[in-house]
Amino acid sequence: MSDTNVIYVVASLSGDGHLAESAEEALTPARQLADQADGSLTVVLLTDQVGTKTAEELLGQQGADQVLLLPTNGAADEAPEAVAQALADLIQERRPLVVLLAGAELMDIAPRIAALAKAGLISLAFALKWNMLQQTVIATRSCYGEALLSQVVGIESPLLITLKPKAFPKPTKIVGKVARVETVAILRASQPSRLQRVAIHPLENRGAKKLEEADIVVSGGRGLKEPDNFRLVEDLADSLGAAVGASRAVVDAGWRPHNEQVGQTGKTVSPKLYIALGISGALQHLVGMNASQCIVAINRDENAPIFKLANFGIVGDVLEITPLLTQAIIHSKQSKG
Amino acid sequence: MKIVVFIKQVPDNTRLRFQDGQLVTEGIPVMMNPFDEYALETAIRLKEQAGGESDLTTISLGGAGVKETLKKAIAAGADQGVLLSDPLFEGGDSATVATALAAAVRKQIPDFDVLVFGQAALDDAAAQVGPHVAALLAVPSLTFVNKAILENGQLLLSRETIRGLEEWRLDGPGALCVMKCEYELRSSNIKGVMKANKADIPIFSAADLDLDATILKPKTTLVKSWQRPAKSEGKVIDGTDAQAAVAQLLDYLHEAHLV
Repeated sequence: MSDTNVIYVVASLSGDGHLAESAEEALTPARQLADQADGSLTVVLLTDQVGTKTAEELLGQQGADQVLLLPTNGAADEAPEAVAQALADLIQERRPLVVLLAGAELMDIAPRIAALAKAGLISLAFALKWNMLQQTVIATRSCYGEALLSQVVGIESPLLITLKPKAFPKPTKIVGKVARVETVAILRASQPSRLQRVAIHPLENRGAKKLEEADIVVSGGRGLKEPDNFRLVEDLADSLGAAVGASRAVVDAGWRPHNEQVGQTGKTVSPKLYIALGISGALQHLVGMNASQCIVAINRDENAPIFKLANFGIVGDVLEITPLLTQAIIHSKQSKG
Repeated sequence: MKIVVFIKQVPDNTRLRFQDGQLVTEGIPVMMNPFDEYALETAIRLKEQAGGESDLTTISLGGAGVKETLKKAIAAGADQGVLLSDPLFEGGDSATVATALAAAVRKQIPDFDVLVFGQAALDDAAAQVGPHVAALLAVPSLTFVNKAILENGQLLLSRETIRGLEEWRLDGPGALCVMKCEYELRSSNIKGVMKANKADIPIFSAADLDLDATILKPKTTLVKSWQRPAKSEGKVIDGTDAQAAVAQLLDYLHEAHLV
């Protein structure tokens, strides 16, 4: 382990004091890169609440060699500009090789950090590898609505990389590993931002999980015939612990809110399992979900484009088949206990 | 109120073609980036709400063909367009583009009130340029905005994040990155089309913006790209017997450890 080739992961904590899921996902490729590059892994923890002891153990076990505690004084939520400036200052001062950022809030401020730190930024990588010869990280990402894959490298370090959600597994715990902890207090006391959050209303989405983070997504389209039948989608999603999505057609028709739309002008999801109910598969929809690991489609029209993409398709009546599937899932979960 | 909206012309990604695994860029129909259409409509609405001396400039970067997309923006309601075009911009990364756009704003509209971007471009899908330009111009930015209303000289902004529906207030110059809104881009009327046809759209080179190869140097570079491999042929079964079909699907999901 050397002081060069330091890999940074910027992480924050979820409300209950655990490491955010996205940060855990970033730790896996970060540890691999650190090992391959004969370097080390440093976690920059944006926090107000964690003591040194917790950080040593919590992050040590997750693979970190070092933890830099960056007290945010509540700014993480309220003043993203101040956090971006603090991270840019830290990156410019210590010059890590690569900085991995995951999770919606960090991805949001990543371009600002890159601009302030004069660093390169690669967005939404889903694979990272170390190139020994060129001593550089090669990132793979997709563009053109997931149709084209590309490999991108940074020209100089530090290089910032944001990670595609769900692309990397959580790290295996290393029992007994303890990280060195240092507190860095570089959050500049700035004037109150001219941009202030004034209110926040929790979403009323059905489906326990948020679309982008869910392992399973159940989506419905026009084939459900009327808005009331969307309850079949919700019931199946409930039985699977899945999030609910929708096609553009039903969002534009006012059946479902826009925050459920999957596709070109909606959300891009890549769950382990995507179930499309009564969705024919317009390209605008497919680009939002074609990176899903497994796609199941149920549709009346055997020529529907969705079947070209599906791992498993059923040509049939979605209104008849869906409730049977829901019952079968509930039954199989019960019999497993 | 001085408003700037940034427009990108992108290939219609429902009509992409590949040859030997490589994207064919020639001859693919182009269009205004869909999120930029929402940005443009949002900007036009802000201009209407502000009334008086308000002014809406639209800026794009690309080849001469991009003028057509800028004209579409003028026809819909922008007052004037500016095109940034230079070999030094080609082959750059998001940092290159953001540097050029920020320089154009400094030159043309230094006293701007609000910069409006689309959340992301369809082609490179990086969602970098808006916040990067905002940082270069030292103003705050908000992403995923789906509504912007002018109220007592301040902007009330709505956005959706994993935390919920958020409302923000912007008091002073700033940038918005707009995603799908409740409204679509209006169609242009005859008057708008005539204005667009007559519009003289200046083209700025890197030198016009006092930019050189050093400052425009990209910070990341493409190694290679290739078409996403087609999935192996899936299984499609007949669902006339719904019970039997569900049983088969459940077996499949169990075998794949998906439930």
